[in-house]
Amino acid sequence: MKPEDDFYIGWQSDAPLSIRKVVWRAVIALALIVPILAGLLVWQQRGFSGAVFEYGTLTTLEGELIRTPVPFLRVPVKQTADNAPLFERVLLIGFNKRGADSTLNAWERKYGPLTNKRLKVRGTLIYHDGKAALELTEEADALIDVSGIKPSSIPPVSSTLGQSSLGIVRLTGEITDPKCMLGVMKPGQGRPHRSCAVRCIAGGIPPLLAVQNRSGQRNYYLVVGPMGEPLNASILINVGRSVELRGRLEQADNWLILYTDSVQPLAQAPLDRSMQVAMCW
Amino acid sequence: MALNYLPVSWNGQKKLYDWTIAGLATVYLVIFCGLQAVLFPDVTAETIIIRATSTLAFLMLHVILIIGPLCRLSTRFLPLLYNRRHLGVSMFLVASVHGIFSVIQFHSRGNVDPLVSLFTSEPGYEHLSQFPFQTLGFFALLILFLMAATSHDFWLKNLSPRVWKTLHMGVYVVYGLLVMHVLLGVLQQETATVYTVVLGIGMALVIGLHLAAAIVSQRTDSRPLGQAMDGFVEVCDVHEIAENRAKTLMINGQNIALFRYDGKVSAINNQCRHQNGPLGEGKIIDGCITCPWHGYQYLPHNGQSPPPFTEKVETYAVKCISTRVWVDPTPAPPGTPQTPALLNGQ
Ligand code: HEM
Ligand code: FES
Repeated sequence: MKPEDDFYIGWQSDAPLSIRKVVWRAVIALALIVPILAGLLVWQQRGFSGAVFEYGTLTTLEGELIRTPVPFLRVPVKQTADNAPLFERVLLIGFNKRGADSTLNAWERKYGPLTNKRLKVRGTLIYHDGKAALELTEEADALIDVSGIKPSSIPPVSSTLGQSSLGIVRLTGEITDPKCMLGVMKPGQGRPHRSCAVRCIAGGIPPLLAVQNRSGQRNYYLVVGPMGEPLNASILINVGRSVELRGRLEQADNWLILYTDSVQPLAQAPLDRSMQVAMCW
Repeated sequence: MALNYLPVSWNGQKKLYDWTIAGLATVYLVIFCGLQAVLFPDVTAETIIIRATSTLAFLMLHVILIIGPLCRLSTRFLPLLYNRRHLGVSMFLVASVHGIFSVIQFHSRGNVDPLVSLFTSEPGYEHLSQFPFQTLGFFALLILFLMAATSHDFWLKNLSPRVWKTLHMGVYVVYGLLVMHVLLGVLQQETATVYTVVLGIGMALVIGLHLAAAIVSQRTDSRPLGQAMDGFVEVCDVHEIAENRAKTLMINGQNIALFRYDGKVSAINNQCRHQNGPLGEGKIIDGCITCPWHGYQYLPHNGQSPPPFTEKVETYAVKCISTRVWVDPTPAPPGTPQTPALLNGQ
């Protein structure tokens, strides 16, 4: 039976010793568990990519606007030995979870057609693994200057500017949104990030296939339809999942663009398979 | 109690309780965020906030859930229960930082309303691997909000204890939702075995302690010893009950607390009108049965709280034949006076 003093109600000012002892032990146990757990949960994380989003820093770039199949600014980076200029493309992305098109359309309403014109544009850089994007953070005000192309420094305008075909390929990877993947969010892909990637791609940011080889190196492919049309709406269901894409691969300066005619989700996820096994039991 | 829930609210013990919660939560957040920044400098501030607050809230929920069964197993843990609602409200606040940040981070500034996005961005409701785990977190947070908003005794009184208690049993629904929220969400990406093991230990503690408490209280609930006679059943020997304490009985579905005091024995319903606390685990203090959970008091002979309070519980007729105690398990309406059984010859 319980000893007389072994009873305590919170509104009494002091607890009997036997009770105080137990409560103190519980508090000490918690005081040990709390730091251990905090440390363990952090330490065991997978880690985050070294991708960079220069939040708060605006960078001005000058280059030629390319609008199809996805919007790029084509920036001359250096001259090669035979004096041919070398270009790098910076993917243009809108502010928030939006593609660049609404901003580019606003510019064109003001200045007339801008395709293949030379633009001075200010925005926030996002970069990872040799790929860069520019967020048009200031939207309509991000366009600082427009000029024609100087024929001497830039090759003649053509629709396949700097683009070359690499043939038909079949690729397996995860559909991500380039904005987060290249640095705006960490992690910028995978299961927990999926809903955000869906928002970004639904908002017009071109989908990006991230392909990882056995040694963990990654390659990225911008994904468009067979004629270069956007696939954003139809690909939403497959965002953040393992898929196999087939199509014509083209190199556009430092980017790879996949003109895909087939998007196949890969075989059932292990979780669904084990669920089915469990249900059959 | 109901009439003076404001005045009794604050004492040294409660303050100590709140400081302990705040201190431990701060230690957790400082270590989590600090270590995150040192070990993974590439991480973003949003992810640190989302992960630090979610894991802290989930840890707090585990503590909240194991306090109940611990108290059933040993009354010495009761001081942890007394102020548990502060722990609950703090947990809700921490969890809402996680929820709100997640909604902003993943769903805001897109082409649809954030809450529409939460429910529609991942339409794979039929596949476990693609189930929109964030909606589970949303419903958990919603229930936690309702619980936190009604945690004050004002609501307990207004909603009636039954409705209130039912609402607050929602914490178990919350726990289930959150286990799935974690399993179907972050554990699909962060696949280190440690996470599964830690979650497993947490679940084992919560479930194991609840089972243990249920088994133990089943064992301590006495059942009638023999046949009924004039409606009375023999339940125990008077010496089995300590002075100013009770024995709990389960007869015909009636949960009865049988108290012995001042050479008398009285029986009232075991469930406190406040939050169904186990009155039979309480004690008679200043002539009143005092609930072990938050100290509501009832007079043993009529089940009424002493004036000015108005709580009442059902009472039962009791008689003593030599040293044997007999109880009529038919409940009399709450607050009905009964003649206490005198311990003859003592
Ligand atoms: C509107 C409500 C909620 C939303 C939108 C939400 C969203 C999320 C997201 C997106 C993640 C993955 C984050 C990551 O990449 O690490 C996550 C994880 C998690 N959530 Fe929630 N959540 C909500 C409510 C809750 C609540 C109420 C709790 C209660 C404690 C909770 C506990 C957790 C835990 C423990 C994790 C795993 C750790 C982590 O990844 O942060 N969540 N939640
Ligand atoms: S005093 Fe709260 S349950 Fe009895």
